[in-house]
Amino acid sequence: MKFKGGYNVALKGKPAPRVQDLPESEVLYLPLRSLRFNFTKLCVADGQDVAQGQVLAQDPDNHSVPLLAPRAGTARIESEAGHLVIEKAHDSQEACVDTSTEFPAPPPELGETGARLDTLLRAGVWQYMADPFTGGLPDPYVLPRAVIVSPSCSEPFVPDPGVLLKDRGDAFIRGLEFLHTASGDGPIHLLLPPGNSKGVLELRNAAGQCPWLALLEIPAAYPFDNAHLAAQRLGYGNGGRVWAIGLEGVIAAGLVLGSDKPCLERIVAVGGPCVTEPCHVKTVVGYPLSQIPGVPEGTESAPVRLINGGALTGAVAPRDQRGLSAECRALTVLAENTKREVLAFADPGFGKHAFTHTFMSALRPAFLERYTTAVRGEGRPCLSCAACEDVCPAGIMPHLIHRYVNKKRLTEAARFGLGLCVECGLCSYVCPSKIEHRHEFLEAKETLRLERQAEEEHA
Amino acid sequence: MKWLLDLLEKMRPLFEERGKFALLKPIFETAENIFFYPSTCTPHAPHVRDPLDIKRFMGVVLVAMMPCIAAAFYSFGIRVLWMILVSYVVGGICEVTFAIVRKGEVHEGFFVTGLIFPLTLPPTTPLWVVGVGILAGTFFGKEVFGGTGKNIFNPALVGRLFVTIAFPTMMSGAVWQLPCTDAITAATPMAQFMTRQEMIPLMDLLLGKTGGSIGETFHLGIIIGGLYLMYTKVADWRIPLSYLGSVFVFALVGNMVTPRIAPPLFQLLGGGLLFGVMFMATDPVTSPFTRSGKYVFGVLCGLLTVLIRAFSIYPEGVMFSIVIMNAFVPMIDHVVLGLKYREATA
Repeated sequence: MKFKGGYNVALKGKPAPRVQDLPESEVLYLPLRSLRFNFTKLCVADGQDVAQGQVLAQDPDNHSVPLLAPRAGTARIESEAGHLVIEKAHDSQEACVDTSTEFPAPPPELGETGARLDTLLRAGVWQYMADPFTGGLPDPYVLPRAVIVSPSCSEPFVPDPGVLLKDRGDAFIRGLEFLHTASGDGPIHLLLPPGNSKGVLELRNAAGQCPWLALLEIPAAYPFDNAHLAAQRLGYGNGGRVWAIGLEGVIAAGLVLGSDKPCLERIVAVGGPCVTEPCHVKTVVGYPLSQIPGVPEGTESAPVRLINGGALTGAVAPRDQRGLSAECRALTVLAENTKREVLAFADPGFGKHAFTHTFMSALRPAFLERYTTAVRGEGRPCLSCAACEDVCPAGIMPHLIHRYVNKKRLTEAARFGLGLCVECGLCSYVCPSKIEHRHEFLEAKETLRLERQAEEEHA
Repeated sequence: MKWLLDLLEKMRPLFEERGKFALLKPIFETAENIFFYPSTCTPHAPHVRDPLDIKRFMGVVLVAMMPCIAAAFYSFGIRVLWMILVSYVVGGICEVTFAIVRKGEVHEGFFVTGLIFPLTLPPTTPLWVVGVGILAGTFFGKEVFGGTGKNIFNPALVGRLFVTIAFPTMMSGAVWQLPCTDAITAATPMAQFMTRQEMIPLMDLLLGKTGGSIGETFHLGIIIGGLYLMYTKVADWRIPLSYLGSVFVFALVGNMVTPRIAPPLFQLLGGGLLFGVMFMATDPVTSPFTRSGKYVFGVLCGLLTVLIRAFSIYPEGVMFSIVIMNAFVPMIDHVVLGLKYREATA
């Protein structure tokens, strides 16, 4: 398989491949919104004592995925806007899967698989699953024809596969075996980056134990571990019934199915140029952001940006977000740009990484750069320089699509491959005219989706 | 540089709405942003951005032209400076006027146009003709289309075309000063070949010891500049490759058929071919944006150049062929996209 495009942003502050256990926090702030989920259906009352693993809230629009209580304590609903707070939080050591809350029931014909899917849904594992094409949550009770397992580790900065798999290889394999059963005879594709790092060796080891795994060797550049891209490459149409899941999800599934306990701890990568000691932390959802070590507190004169996710596709943590959100796998911290660079166009640029060889850094051996959130230039009309086309992993022409999206001619934009965009953000990253391709395309896709939905309802 | 920033801050109210010079806001902003980049933060993901911007992009083109300019100074003296200055001042006034009318910023592309244009002129061109030419180029070549990024024709070439047709006596005949002398001649290498079938030695062509437009004679410098542009990926290598390749092939074949067509190496190193290929045909705005379209564009440019050089009254055909092909760019892209996305529409 031939891959084109892709690019590794040399961002400083890669999390060290070790896991730091965070001390227990007495108060947990669980955001009721995350990137995909909106936990609007509350299942507990204010002041109620909750058990570890109990369902606190559900997202009624997403197959009732639950927000679990990561620790036992007292629930507070109104003390913090947008959050569910657990006071007097403590590890009760007796977490169990909540079976009392109502969830959509598995259809009886699914039998054993259905029961296990029900457990995964209740134990908060289903939220790791995604439809590779839409990014949305697939229906747990429509079994897939194929599953794509991606280490998704190439974006700066997301957890390192070696860290995730350390001592948890068995759970990983158990998770894979479950997916194998669930998909019937459908293939389980495992994306395999090159090299012989710990993570890759673990993945190879897993592949050795599961002969039915279909390996897909991918290049070592961002974003070839993207599940959407892989699904396109593997020739799956946007017809649904393909599941995409990361290592965290497979491991969590394995842990839950092996112990019948919900998987409440998670490993989060904390990285970025202004984190003092970037590393991975083992923690729970709702852990106060201010207590995570190494994360600088922004001040008036030196503000920082907290990002839920990586530096290229992550979402800015809202100002009022107090704790780790339910979907957070990485926390990237960048200094907001406050400086006005002097004569930057004449800078020889030994310390500046550029995709094109327009800075002297092209003559230097590999190094990492302290990026800030600076746009580094002024917005200009597109010159069709085609840098975006050079980096695009999906093989589309972002500059062409931008033309049509800009003119609100979405039908043409779709014809030229808007739907193939995997939202990796590299086009916006390289654009010398500083055009917000990724954001533009996301909006255009959403508009198209709504239009199609309206058409269907009309018909 | 703190003092300058303070000064700018002090001056800012003058250019704000209701300020004394509110009309000149684009000039103020341009000046400000040349010295101090805006401190904008990324509004959406990706949260980090590549340092390349349009100022740097155009700056790289200017750097690539430095060998030609240095050679021009060496060969034709201080006159070159006046020509460049006139071009920048007159073109700049035009650009700024439009920026004011549009209430937008001054776009950096002008810095390239304003430098390329004088380099395409004969060394004896009167300064007022330089002014008229750049005005026509900026106005008709760029501003009427809506500014940088929206123009169909290369503005510098439009200007050059305008003066060629408007002032034929000043653009051809005995207007070519020989490098490092005061001697004026009518004979550029291409003209000499056309009238007398004489060929200048290739080494003289390479080192720029012949008459010609001020920027086009020192071919070694142009080659270095062009390679630099391609190395930095500011210019796409596909156009120079296909353009030069097609000139070579058509000249090779044509030379066997008729002696009116000059042999390939002479074609490549004579006249304005290399300058046009490296700095004008590669302009991303006015060349096809599709990859295969770039090859088509280059090959057709090459064919036209060879034909015009051999069979028209002009000894030189690069300017015409690029402008003609500029007009076909939207069509080339349309056809290429139509073929590429054929399945999608069916």
